Amino acid sequence: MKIHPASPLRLLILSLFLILILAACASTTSAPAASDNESTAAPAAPPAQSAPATDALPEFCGDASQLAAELHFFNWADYMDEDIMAQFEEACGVKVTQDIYSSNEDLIAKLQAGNSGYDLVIPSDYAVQILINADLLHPLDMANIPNVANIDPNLMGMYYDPENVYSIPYQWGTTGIAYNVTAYPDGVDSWAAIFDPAQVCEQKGFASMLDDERESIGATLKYLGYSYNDTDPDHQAQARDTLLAQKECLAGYNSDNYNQTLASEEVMIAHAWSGGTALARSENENVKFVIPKEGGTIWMDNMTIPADAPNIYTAEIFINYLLSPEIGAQLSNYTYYFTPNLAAQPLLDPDYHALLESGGMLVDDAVRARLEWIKRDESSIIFSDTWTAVKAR
Amino acid sequence: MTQRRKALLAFLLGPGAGWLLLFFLLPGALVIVYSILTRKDGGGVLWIVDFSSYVKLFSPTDGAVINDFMVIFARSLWWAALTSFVCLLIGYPLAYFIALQPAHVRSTYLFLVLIPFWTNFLVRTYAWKFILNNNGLLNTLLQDWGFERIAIINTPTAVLIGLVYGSLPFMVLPLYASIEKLDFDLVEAAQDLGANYLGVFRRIILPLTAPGIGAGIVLVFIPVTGQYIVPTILGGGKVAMLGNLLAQQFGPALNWPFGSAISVIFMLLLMSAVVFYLRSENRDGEAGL
Amino acid sequence: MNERQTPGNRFLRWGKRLLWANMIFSFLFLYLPIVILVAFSFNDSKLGARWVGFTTQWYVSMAQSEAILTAMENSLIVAFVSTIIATILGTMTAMAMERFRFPFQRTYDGILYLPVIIPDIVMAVSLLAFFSLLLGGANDLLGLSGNAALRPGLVTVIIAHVAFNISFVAIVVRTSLGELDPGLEEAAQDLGANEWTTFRRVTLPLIMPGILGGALLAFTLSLDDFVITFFTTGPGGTTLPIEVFGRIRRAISPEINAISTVMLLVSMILVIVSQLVQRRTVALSSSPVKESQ
Repeated sequence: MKIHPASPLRLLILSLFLILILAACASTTSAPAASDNESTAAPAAPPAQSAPATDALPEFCGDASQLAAELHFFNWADYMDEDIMAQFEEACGVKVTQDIYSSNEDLIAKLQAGNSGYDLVIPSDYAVQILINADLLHPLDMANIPNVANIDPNLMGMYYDPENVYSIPYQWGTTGIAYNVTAYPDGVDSWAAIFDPAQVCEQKGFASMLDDERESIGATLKYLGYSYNDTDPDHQAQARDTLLAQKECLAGYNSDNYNQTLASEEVMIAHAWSGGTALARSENENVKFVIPKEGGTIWMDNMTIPADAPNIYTAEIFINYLLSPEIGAQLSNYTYYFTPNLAAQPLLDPDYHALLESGGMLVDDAVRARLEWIKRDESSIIFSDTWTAVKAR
Repeated sequence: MTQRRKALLAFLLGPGAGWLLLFFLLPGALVIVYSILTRKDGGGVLWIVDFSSYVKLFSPTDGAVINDFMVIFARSLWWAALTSFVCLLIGYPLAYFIALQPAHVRSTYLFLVLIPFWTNFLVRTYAWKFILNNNGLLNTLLQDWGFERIAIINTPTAVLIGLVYGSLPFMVLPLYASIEKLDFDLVEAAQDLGANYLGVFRRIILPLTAPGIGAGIVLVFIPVTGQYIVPTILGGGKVAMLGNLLAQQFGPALNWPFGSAISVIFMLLLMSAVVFYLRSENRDGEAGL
Repeated sequence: MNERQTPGNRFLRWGKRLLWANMIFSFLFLYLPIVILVAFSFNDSKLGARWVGFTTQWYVSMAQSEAILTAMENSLIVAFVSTIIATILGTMTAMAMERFRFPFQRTYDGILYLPVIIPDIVMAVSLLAFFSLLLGGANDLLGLSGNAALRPGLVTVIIAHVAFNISFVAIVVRTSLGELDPGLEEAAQDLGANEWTTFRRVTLPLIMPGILGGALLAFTLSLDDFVITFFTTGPGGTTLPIEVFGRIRRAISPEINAISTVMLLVSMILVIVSQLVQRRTVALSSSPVKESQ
C-alpha cells in the first residue's frame, strides 16, 4: 500500500510560501509599520533620535532635535482620524502608530503591567484618577503645550485631576436616552419610558440598555431618585429589582453597536451615549436624544502620558497639535463627540452642528445642571454584584 | 528502559513540556496565588493573604443558597452540554461522510469545513445577527413572502445556533481523525455475518470511534463554558455566562482575586471531569485496537 | 457487496442518503453567513438588509487603510509561526505520551488538558503579569530603557499562542496515534529500521491526517484569538480580531466584510493549490490505494 507522505507536507510548505508572498506584498505597502512589528521585542530597536534634520519644520512641530522617530498612541476605537496622524507625520516626520483598546480596565491592566511602550493614552475620567493614584502617569509640561489655553475653562479642573497636572480633555459626551420619533412622536422626557414596565413593554423586543454596570445601574438609581454613585445596599437592591422587571421586555444589553440598531430601527428606544446617537442620527434622522429630567451622566476622555513612556516630548508636541483649532475641529467632525476646544468650535462642520442641535444632543446650562460624573471608590464593588444578579436571574 | 529510549523520550517530551512549564504553568500558578490575595483598588493585587474571594464565591446572595455565581456556572455547563450534543448529532455523520470519500478528496472536504472559520469570529457572529435580526435577512424575506416576522434574535435559540456554528469544526476534526482509522473490513465482516447496519454501528463503529467522540466533546464542551461573545451578541447579553462573569471581574469590577478564585474553582471542576474521562478511556482504550 | 434486499441493505441505502443530506445541510449551514458576508461586502450601503447596488469601494478603502493591512499581516505571521511550532511540539508530545511509559504520566496527561480548560481571559491576564515580570527583569538586567527596552509584541503573542495550541494539537494527534496498530512499528523495527526511520516511513504517513487536523485547528485558533492576543501584544502588534473588534463598535461597515472576504479568498487559494498538489501526487504513484483507507 503506497502512501504519499510528502504531499501534505508539500502542501504546508506551499501554503507557507503563498502566505509569505502575500504578506510581503502587504508589507511593501505598509513598510514603516512592518518594521515596527518585526523589531518590537528585539533589543536592537531603532534609536530614538534620527529626527529630520531640516530646519523647514512648521512651528507646531517644536524642537526638531528632541523629536522622536515614532509615537505610539493607544486609543479607543474610531476615536482618531487616520488623516490627522498622517498629516502630523508629513509635517514633522514623526510616524504615529495607533493601537486600540475597548475599555478603561483593559488600558489600566496594560499600564499597570508596566513597560507597555505607549506614549499617549486616552483614559476616561475615573480611570485618570485610578492611574494617578497608582503613579502611572507622567506630569505634563505645559510649556510644550501652549494650545491648552484653547480648552473650555469649564472643562478644566475636574474632580479627578483638579490642577490638570496629568491630563487634558480630549473629547467628552453625555449619556441619556436615544429614541425614534416614529415610535415616540411626543418625545421622551423621563427614564420611566425605559424603566417602567408598562411603558417599555410597548416596545417589547425593541428596547436596549447599555451593557455597562455603572451606566445602567446608575441610570436606574437616578430614575429612583438617587445618585449615580449611590452604594447603599437597599438602594442597590431596589435598582436590581427595577432592572429585573424591565429585562423581560428588553431586546438586550448593547454597548457596542446600538448606533446601528437605532439607525436600522432594530431598536426604537435605547440607553445610549451621545456620540453613538449622533452617528445613528446621521444615518437615520428619526433618531433623537434626550437627557431625561431625572438626569444623565457627563463623561470625559483625556490625553495623558504614561509614566514610563519612551517619547515624552514628542507626545507633548502631538497633544499640542491636537489642541490646535483646525485639528480639534477635524477630530470632532470624525468622532461625532463633543470637543472641549473652544477655538475649534466655530470650525466644526455646520451640518454636524445642526444635527446635534436638532437631535437634542447639545448641552446648555439647564441640561448641564442635571448631569452627574460617574465616580469610583472601594465601595463601588457593590455595582458588580448587583449587575451579576441582574444578569444571572 | 534503555538509555537510548530515555534519551528519545527526553527529546520528544522536553521541548513541549518546557514550553508549557514556562509559559503556561508558571503564569497559571500566578493566578492560583492571586486568588488568595487581596484586591487592590484600581486593579491588581496586594500581597496580603485573604480568602474572602472564596468565601464570597460560596456565600448566599440575597438569602439564596444557590447564589448567582452557581447559577451562572450551572447555566454555562448546561449550554456546553447542549452545544456538544447538537454538534455531535451534526458532526458525526459529516465526519463519517468525509471518511468514506476517496483519499484525495478528503482533505478538500476538511478544508471546506474549516474555511468559514478563517474569517473573523466576531464578523461571523454578526453575520448571524444580520440574518436573524428583527429586520434582518430572514425576517425581510419572510415579510416579502407575506409571513409574520419571527423573533429569533436575542433568544436562547439564536445563542444555540451561534454556539453550534462556532464549535462544529472542533467536533468534526477529532471525529474524522478517529473514523478515518476505522478498518472497514471489520464492518464488512460483520455484515457478512448477518448483522444489520444498526447493529454494526452500535457494536463496532461506535465503540471504535469513541476516542474521537470523547476528544470532540472535550474540545467543544470546554471552550463553550467560557464563551461570552455569542451570548452577548446573539442573546442580547441578557443571560450571563461564565465568560461574562470573568470578563466583568477582570474588567469593570477590577477584582482580580475574585476573578482568579472563580477560575480556580471552575478549572478544578472541569479537571475532575477530564480526569474521569481519561480514567475511563484508559480502561477501554486497549479493546479498541 | 451483494444487492440482497435485506433489512441491512435497506438501512445501508437510507444511511447513505442521510449522510448525503446531512452533509449538504451542514455545508449550507456553515456557508450561509459566509455567502451573506461576501455578498454584502459589495453592497452600496452601510446598513440594512436590502441590496442597494454593487460597489467595490469598500475593498478600495480597506486596501488603503494601513491599520487593516498591518493587522492582517500580523495575524497571518502569528498564525503561521505559532502553528508550525505548536504542531511540531504537539506531535512530539503526542508520540511521547502514546509510545512511552514514564512516571507521573497520568499527571502530565491532566496537565496537557489545562490549556484547553482554562478560560481565555484567565490565561491572558496571567500571561500579561508574567511577561511584565519577565521583560521588566530582563530590561533591568541588561540595562535597557526607553525605545531600546524589551517590550511585549508579536513575539510574546506567538509564545502565548504556541502555549495553548500545543495541547490542542496533541489531543488530535493522540486520537490518530491511539488507533494505530503498534504492530506495524514493531514489525518495521524487527526488520532493522531505527526509530527515526520507523517514524518517518511508517508512523508519520499514517498519522498525517491527525497532524494535519491538529495543525488546521491550531491555525484557526490562532487566527481568531482575541483576548489572549490583546493582553500579550504591544505597540504595532494589532492583529485582525483586535482591529475588527474595535471597528465593529462604530459601524459594521462593509469594510469589515471586505477584509473577511479577502481572508477567505486567501484560504480558498490554499485549498485549490493543495488539491492540485495532491492530485499530482496521486497520479504519479502507480500503486492502487485502498478505497476506504
